[in-house]
Amino acid sequence: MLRSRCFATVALAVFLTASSAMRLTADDKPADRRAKVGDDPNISSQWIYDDIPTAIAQAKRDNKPLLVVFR
Amino acid sequence: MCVRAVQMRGVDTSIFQFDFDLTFCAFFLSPDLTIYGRYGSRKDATDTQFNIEAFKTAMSRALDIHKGFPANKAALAPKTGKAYEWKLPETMPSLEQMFRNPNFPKGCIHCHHVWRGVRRSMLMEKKPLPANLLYTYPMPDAIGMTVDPASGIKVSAVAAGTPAAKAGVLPGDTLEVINGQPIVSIADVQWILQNSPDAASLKIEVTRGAERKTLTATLAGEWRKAADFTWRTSCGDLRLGMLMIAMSDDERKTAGIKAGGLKVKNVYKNGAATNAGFQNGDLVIGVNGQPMQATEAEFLAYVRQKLTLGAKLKLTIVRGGKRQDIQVDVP
Repeated sequence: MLRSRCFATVALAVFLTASSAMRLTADDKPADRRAKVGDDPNISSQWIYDDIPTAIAQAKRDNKPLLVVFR
Repeated sequence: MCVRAVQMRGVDTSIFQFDFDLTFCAFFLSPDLTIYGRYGSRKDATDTQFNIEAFKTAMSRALDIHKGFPANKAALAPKTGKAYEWKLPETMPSLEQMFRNPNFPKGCIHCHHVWRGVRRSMLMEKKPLPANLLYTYPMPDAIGMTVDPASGIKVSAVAAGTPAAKAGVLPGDTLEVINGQPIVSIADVQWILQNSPDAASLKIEVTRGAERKTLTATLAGEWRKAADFTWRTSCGDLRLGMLMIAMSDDERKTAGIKAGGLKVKNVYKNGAATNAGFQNGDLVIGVNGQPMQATEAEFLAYVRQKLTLGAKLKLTIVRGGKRQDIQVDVP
């Protein structure tokens, strides 16, 4: 019981940290935005930054379609 | 699997061909890099082309195509273009040359640099530029149909007398397939137009209410050339080292002409025009002894389709009320 409470507390702390880390503001410089997005597991687990070969390899491995955005 | 690309170094342009003067461009692909569709791109149409609902529609249609893959692979093949002579931007001779210049920043290859790479590498081989490398990625309006940006696939207006009107396209029609290629967004229509010859037949499949209709549009003549390409960042490289704009009526009076004429708005630092002696405010009234009747786009098309690098071009200008000829080497 104590163990699961500890786990829940740690998970909540990680979630809150990630949430606040990924809050983007208009004043963020591009590097800050990259860092914040990269720190957010909800985003970084789904998006690959500027590495098309890795994305292609993962798409092939997982047999998933690819979304490639140029900006 | 989602990837955000922020520069073009190392990007395979035999797969990723799009309007490189972009704001935002998305590709939907199979794991084996068969292209399901494109979304977005050109930046002069930001207000009219980008819409989150249209993006959702494009994604939804792309996922439908994915469900039918690989049975539909043959129909999707034309969504991948003919490879450029150089696959990677950094191997394009003109970009190699550009990055050898010690004064040029050694950062990323921007998307618009790829147009420079493709065009200038051809010019360096004394090849004239084909029309579709000047008037790139025509909007559907070029053939007379406006597509509602909020849907990305629904025709909102059809101009009378145009190929779309003659084909029987009606406002309210939803675009489904053109020349066998399933349409997910306006960018897919642009892709087909980009790769259509000047004289071509387009088989347009639409849904109209509950009905599915197949219409045929006939393209002929200079439908592609209605578009002005001088807004493009990549156009800077097509110029003679100066930006020119249409003259005002007062400027025509000053220059002593009744029609046409171009005014030098901005002479680029260290460019061919600077070397030739052009100044901001010069009024260009003639080219090689003929009156200057062209728009800047028409003039640049003439330069890049009829002249080769290093060719001598004589422009007649009026400066301070006096006429003079200036010769410029085509850069």
